[in-house]
Amino acid sequence: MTEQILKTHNLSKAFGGVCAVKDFNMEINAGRIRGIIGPNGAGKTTIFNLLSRIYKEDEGTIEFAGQDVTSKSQIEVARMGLSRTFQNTRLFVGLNVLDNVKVALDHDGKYSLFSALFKLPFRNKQERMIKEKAMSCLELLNLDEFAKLSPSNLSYGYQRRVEIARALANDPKVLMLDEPAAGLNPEETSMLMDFIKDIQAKYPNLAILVIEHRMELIMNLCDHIYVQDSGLTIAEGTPAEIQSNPKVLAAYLGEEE
Amino acid sequence: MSAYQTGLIVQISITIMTVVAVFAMTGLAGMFSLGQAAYMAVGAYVTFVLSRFLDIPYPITGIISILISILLSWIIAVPTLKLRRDYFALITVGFSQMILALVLLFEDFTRGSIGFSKIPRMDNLLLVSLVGLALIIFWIRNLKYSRFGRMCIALKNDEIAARSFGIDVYHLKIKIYVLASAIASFAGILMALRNRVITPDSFGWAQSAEMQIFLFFGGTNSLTGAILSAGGLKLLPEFVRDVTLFGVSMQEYRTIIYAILIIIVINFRPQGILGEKEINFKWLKNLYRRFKQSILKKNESYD
Repeated sequence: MTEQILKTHNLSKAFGGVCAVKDFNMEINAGRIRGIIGPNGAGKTTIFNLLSRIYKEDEGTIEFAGQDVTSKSQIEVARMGLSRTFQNTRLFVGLNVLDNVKVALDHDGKYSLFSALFKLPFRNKQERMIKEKAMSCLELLNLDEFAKLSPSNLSYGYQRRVEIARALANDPKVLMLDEPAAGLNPEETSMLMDFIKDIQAKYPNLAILVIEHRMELIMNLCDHIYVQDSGLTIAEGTPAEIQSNPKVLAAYLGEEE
Repeated sequence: MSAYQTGLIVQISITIMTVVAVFAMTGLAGMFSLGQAAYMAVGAYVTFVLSRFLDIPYPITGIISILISILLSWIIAVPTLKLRRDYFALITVGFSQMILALVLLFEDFTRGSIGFSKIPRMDNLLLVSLVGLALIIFWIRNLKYSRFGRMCIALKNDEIAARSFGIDVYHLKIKIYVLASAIASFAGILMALRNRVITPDSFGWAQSAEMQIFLFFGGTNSLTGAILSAGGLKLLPEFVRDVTLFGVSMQEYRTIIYAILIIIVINFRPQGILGEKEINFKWLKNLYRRFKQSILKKNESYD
């Protein structure tokens, strides 16, 4: 597989005088997992927000699925198959786990407001299809036993998984995970890593991009890593290359010693 | 049934209708509006002023007035729903004041603050109100459990996250706001038919605030909560009608009573009386089962 699904060229963004991201270049192929690491404030989440079009870039281009998406809105790229999770879990309160997954499919629902209000047969048929699709997504990721529960009744680790399942429900081309292990204990973290590897096996054409500042997670998971510091890419390469890179050790690992 | 009882039932159905519409708008989609009474005014005035001056039967002008409300709410929604929530609430207050100012301005047609009277009598008003109410509750219930309802709850929670699932937040909000406003204008027509007179002060912002109070009292996430609290709180002043305090009927203090109730609820049960619960068949069955179990347990302990 050589198809480049997502690619950026010299992506830059500044807030006021602070340069959050400067000349960021990356690419990812279908079926691969790549990671972005860096200390807090390195501009990792800004990169995600640029890719998912929450922010508008100052300079540079983003190419997604063969198209330049710099002029597209957040809604448009989401519908093109760029899916993401957020740093804090953002499951919707007031909807159970199954309905949370359904929400990811709802923009594509075929029935109109009119048939929804009158509960016409067409609406019921479409609703059944949405339910089946959401349920099969939960089953695939072994979360179906929680379908009827409210997300607030789940442990933090499971909330994270439901959130990832929700992001996968609409068969995206790229899945972006923003610090998926934030707030998890070591055991939950290792379970989450297995979960992500499981996703890679079950969705062979999905490209996954992970942000993390915890080394052990990203070293095990990714086959290529970008290291960010103060908005700049200071290194990139395989986990082994990164671990021996003196610049990385100085900027990032050096603090821990 | 006495005329008083019929009038009371009609009034309560009108209140529930408006609160159910506010539930769709505020409870589901998170748009806090203090201007829904203005759409009631539009419904009432347009229907009967047009009917009198153009000599058209009021059922036809009623439909016209609902269409005008739809158009008007769409015009209001397009620029304001791009704003943040608090600004939206402010603009709806301004809008309702504007409608009332227009009523006073066109005094020749609306008779201004004296009130537009001699509204024709409708014989089966009770039936029309109850059928209308049933239909509206059926609609909003279906809305809540449809893809539109789910998307509304998602965008109320977090607009950025909702957008990241491809939900067109802006257009969805416009749809719901227009729907809620159309229902409010229908309720306005019924109110005019019930009172047989329309005065601008019955559509002030206090009226809109009352709808929000009823909604928050019952629970913003519960449709049945909204229905029960609207019915209950509207009925409450009728029970204390004969009680007097400082020589005035307790009924006159209802705004104060509502204010105290809402302060208590917001402090001790911020999610409202019912919270997220819906009283439906399943809920009643569960209640019955628990009730039966507790009786069985009691009997066992006696043995």
